[in-house]
Amino acid sequence: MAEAVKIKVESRDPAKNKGTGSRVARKLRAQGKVPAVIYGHKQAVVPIALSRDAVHELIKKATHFAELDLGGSTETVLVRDVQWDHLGKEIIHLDFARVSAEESIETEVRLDLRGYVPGAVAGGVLEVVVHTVPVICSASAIPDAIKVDVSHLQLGHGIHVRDLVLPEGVKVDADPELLLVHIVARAATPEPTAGAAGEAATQPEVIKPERKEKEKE
Amino acid sequence: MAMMPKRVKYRKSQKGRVKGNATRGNYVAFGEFGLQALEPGRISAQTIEAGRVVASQTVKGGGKLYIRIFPHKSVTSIPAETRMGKGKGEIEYWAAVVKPGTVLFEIAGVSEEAARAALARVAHKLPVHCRFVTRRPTI
Repeated sequence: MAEAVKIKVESRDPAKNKGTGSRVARKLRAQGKVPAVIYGHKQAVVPIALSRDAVHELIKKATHFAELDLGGSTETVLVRDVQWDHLGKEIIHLDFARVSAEESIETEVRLDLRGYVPGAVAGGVLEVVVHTVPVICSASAIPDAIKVDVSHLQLGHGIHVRDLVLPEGVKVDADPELLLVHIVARAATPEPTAGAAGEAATQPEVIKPERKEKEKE
Repeated sequence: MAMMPKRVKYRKSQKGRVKGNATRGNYVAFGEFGLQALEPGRISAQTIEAGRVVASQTVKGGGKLYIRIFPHKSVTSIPAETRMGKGKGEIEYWAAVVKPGTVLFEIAGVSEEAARAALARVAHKLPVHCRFVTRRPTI
């Protein structure tokens, strides 16, 4: 588990619409800041803003945990939701949920595939069906990633949720039979088909309304 | 064979305009790398098929290719030297409407260099500007 990233944040100016709203958020983004909110533990929702550099640090360390310095007070939070722009280049909003270290929480953890895949050499392709798994654990024990050893996988073999080696205190909240990774046979190189050359070979069927049948009755 | 819907409620559709940005299908969901549209446009079923073929040929059967768009929209045209009127033309082709941010193709099971090479060749065939994208970091 990675340590919590310490981030200095500022609360938003309450004079302007309590510091909320799309116009305020747009102005913050123009200043190089990212709007965010802190909620949870049946306390008030606090709208905040943090620098883009702090967000990049959060991404770089790939941690779920953060300690937010609000000037006078400190909040231990979990990144609950991330909003990206339409191109996925910049984060435009963050949701932080208040947590305590021993609190049991549910979150998504990515799978970290390790090892050289012998099945891929023998004419197979490693297909990752699921990239993240939902886990339930205490907030202080959230793993950065769940390591999955794929070095024994042969063609046609797979790894399911039941095969995962989990850190202590971590439980996966998914069907044990859920397939995570498997080796599938390589597809033959496709040739352009005759239909792709130009003319529409057939037309789609038109769904006719059922009303006519009812009228006949 | 080029993709087209199996069943439709109406065969012909109005032209429409492509407005706004993609709010869905704008991240790499299935594979590890993807090709993202940077401008709005229409991509015909033939072009999608050409992209699929060239990507598969480049990675030589290795990896897995995902096509994230489908040509739902019919595009009609009237023949040359035809007088005006006499109703809407016949269906010429089927096209997918894409907005800036839409992930068009995804690839998995290959190295980043191989994926870049394959998707660059796909991008050359497309009528919209594209960029190579990877999965969003999970935090």
